[in-house]
Amino acid sequence: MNKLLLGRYVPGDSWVHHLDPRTKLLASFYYIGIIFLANNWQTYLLMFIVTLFIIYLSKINISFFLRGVRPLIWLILFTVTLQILFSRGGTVYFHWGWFWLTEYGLINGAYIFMRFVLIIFMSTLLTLTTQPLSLADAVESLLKPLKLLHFPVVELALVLQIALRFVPTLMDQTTKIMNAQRARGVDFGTGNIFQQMKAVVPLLIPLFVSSFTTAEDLATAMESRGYQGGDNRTKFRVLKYHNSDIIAGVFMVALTVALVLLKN
Amino acid sequence: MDNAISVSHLNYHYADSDRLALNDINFDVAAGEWVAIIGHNGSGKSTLAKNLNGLLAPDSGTVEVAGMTLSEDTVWDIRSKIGIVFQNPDNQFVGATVADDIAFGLENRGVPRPEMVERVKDALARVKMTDFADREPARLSGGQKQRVAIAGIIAQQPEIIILDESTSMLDPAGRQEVLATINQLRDELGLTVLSITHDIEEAAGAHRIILLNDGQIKEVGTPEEIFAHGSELLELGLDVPYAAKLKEALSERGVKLPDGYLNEERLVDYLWTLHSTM
Amino acid sequence: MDITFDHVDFTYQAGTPFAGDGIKDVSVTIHDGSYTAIIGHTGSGKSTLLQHLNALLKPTAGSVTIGDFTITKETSNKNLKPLRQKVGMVFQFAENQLFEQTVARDIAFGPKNFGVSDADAQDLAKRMVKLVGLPEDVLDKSPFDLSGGQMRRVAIAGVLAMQPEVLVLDEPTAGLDPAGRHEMMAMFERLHREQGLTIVLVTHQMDDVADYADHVLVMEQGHLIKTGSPREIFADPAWLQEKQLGLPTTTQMAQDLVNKGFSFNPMPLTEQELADQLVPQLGGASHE
Repeated sequence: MNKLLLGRYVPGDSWVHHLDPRTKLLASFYYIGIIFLANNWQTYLLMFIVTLFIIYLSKINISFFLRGVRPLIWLILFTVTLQILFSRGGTVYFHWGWFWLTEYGLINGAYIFMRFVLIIFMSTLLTLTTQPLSLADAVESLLKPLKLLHFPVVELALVLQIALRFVPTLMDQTTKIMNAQRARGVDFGTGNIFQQMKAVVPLLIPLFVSSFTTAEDLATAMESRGYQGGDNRTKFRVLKYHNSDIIAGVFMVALTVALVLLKN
Repeated sequence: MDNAISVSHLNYHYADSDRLALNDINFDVAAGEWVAIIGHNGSGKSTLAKNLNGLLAPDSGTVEVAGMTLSEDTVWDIRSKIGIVFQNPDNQFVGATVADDIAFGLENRGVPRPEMVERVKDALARVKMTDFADREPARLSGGQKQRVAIAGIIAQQPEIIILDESTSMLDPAGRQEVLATINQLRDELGLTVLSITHDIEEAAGAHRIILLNDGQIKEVGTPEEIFAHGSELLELGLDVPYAAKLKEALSERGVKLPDGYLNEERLVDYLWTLHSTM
Repeated sequence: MDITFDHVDFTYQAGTPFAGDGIKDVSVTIHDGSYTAIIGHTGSGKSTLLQHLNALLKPTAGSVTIGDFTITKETSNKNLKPLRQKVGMVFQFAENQLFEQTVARDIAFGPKNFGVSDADAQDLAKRMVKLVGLPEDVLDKSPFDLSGGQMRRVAIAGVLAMQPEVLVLDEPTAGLDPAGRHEMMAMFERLHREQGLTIVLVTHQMDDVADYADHVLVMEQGHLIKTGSPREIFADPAWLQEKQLGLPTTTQMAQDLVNKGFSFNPMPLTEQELADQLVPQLGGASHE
């Protein structure tokens, strides 16, 4: 659990790390959008070169990215297999009932595989180089226009920030309660599904109780420190675009142009 | 001298109980004074603190803080004059990092960012946590977290700081850190300190002690006056200061010592005079 | 039941918040029937050491022998129940472990996990509630309706109900008021004396070490740096001050008196001992 939640961000000092989180968030989404423009080997080659170059810039070991692919590998293979077996066109290598093995099928399968890998690489890069807190800031900043529609953006951001801040505290508490119950003879993670569900009760209830206590204490502390909600708050954390963010933007536009020129 | 806090005929009871948690409480705290409120768990100490900044609303009686009478209109102004450091270091840490947490109160009051940055920097320096500005709370000790809580209060430039059992969950090193920080800030900023505690050592440093028992003020006096009660303090759920225990052990052995309370230093001095007349 | 550590190392996985707080090359025996105190700073490895006493953690090198059980890196997580029953653990802020609808059921939870029948467990609950000094009518109450101090006692009753041979206490009085603290320490002392329970106490309170323990382990940065009786450990105030571990109040006071020309042999640990040694050193003036 620790690895899943905390191990994602890899502290670093690279050009990618220093980009504004909003730039990174928007660029990642944009990248996932334009990847669908790629439809021949030239465009995919370009995307791969670009992606590997950005990974190189992040100074993070490629193995982190390969590890990002691993949990999804079955889903990818499943999709790729379907694509291969059900799309038709070009030379037919094999045919049995509904299943066709064709030239187009194989090529499409390969493209889909690459698309998956590229998307996973890029989103992994986002989480590896951006602290969850910065991402929360970015989301808040990007959602700001929704304030006009009376959507509670600021409150949402504060909730998100507090939730992130309490993840390690809650995990610590979970470990402690698990230890206490194990010492009282509970076996976590053994037995059939019913036994396992039963074993979770002595963990969940104390966890709920202590979360409520924490929430109550926190609310008291926030109130006595003058928290009233509303729009009159100022912000300590501010996001600021730099030259590198402009460069990243220009780069994305250039990539789009190149893709459009190279695609079929 | 002006009173920083002035409480008269304060009554309070919790909705789920008929018993008065605070029963006709009257006391004043002068500006710059350090007052300890002691009493066993459940004696009403923390309830009193929450009545002082309007977290709880009194049934009757008045609370005056920094010249303002506590009411719905003044409560937010009063909260900017009183900072409370609570017991659990984790449950009052709002920010994702040390600097963020210190800024929280300033954000709430709409302090412009350039000023906020200055005040956070100053507060960090005062509690000697400058090097930790970007640390996450999970990587701080209990004592450090409480120092951050203190910094968050100092940044708001209050007149009064309430320690609501702020040291009770800390190890001895953490306790020393927090008390040293408070002492230093009292000197530097002339803060009024109200410390709610059952740590007899913490109380011994105060100018005056208010002894609470079952929601009532049992006695108000200097530490010497309060500690002179010796083992009676045990019955009130409190510790007996060590010097008083030793004095009792000596008098059981026929050694006569002067009446009244001697702190450890004075007891050592007195014993030395007996020793040297041998 | 002796507990023996033989060259025990424990390293936490890199990257976890605890990394660095492990223990290194710890060899020590906690004897059956002893009252052992473990002292050291936060992060000195005390809680890591503690979790080896009932195999919540297994050594990454070396072995821990607990009665008939030997725990090494290879030990399977199965079949540890009989061991956990023998070593009861009261963690810091033990009230956080309560979860049942009634006090009785929460106390009975541990014994039932170890195969005690429902009726016997209920019976145990009744006895334990008395043992920890709570009135019998709390049995049917929800533990969450009790005061913090009472909840702590219920949690301790829940551990005692397992009828362990060794009771491990991690800062059992943290956050209690002085009266609660004295009562609780007196209760453990009684259990130790009357029922022969082996007690392992982790504490920052040197006064408790002086008053109750017969053996002390001093931890620093994962190493066991000193063991001995309280008298041996506190005989060297300079060493303790250098390690910033503090002294029992009596010993501190005696130290101040030594600086004024008094002398003590041995160094007193309690105010009664101090008074005994002081009287002959005070001149006739005191008896006027």
